[in-house]
Amino acid sequence: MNTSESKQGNVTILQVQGKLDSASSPELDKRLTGLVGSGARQVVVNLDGLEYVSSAGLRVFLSAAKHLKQAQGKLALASPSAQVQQIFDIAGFASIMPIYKTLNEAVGACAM
Amino acid sequence: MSDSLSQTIGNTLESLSPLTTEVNRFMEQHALSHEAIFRVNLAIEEIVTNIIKYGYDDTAPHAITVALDLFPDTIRLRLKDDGHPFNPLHTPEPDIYVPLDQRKVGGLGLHLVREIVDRIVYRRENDANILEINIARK
Repeated sequence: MNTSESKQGNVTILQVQGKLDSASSPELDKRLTGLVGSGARQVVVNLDGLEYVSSAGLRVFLSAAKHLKQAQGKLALASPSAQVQQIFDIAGFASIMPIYKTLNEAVGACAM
Repeated sequence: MSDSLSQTIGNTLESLSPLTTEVNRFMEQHALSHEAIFRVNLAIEEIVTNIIKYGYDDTAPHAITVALDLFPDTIRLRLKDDGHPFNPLHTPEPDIYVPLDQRKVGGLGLHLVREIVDRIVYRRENDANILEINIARK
């Protein structure tokens, strides 16, 4: 897994590429916790390069969404592949965090 | 090129990565679909992690065997461990309809597996848990 970070206005974008499994998810958890700790409140995770996600990755997204909500912020997910979207659907993610088809939509919604 | 692969690993989380490397090499050699590869990886990761974390009542080393057999339409995945009896078909469904504040962060792994595979059969045989899973090749 590789991550990179950028900003558009008040929105922090974290790009995640590769595989998000039990081995790599602690690293993403650290990145997201670090972002919230350093003051980021509108966070979009761009998933267009994410090939694989397991429950270990879902746990990281759930935990980040909870932390951001407590801090009056928001976590949004953007551009998952069809397979990753299917995992989000099975986990019931759509009702607890916004998932957008494109990065632009996600950034636009978070910037408002 | 054989249509079967069998790997035995120890009950440590560090064993998972070399196992999935071997399994992925095998699946790529047989040109399986991305979807099938995704599902096999998910089933192995969730179940093997669960066995390693919760399957044993002692701290002794144990063996876990993961076998793949390819059929024309189906991939059959078999997992065998000598942990305490555990039927993953009988674990409670997570409540995925509660608001974010009340949502548990864990407990999704076996739920994902049950939903993405085509068939799961569990049996206890000679003091071992045996799980047979079918995943479509398409």
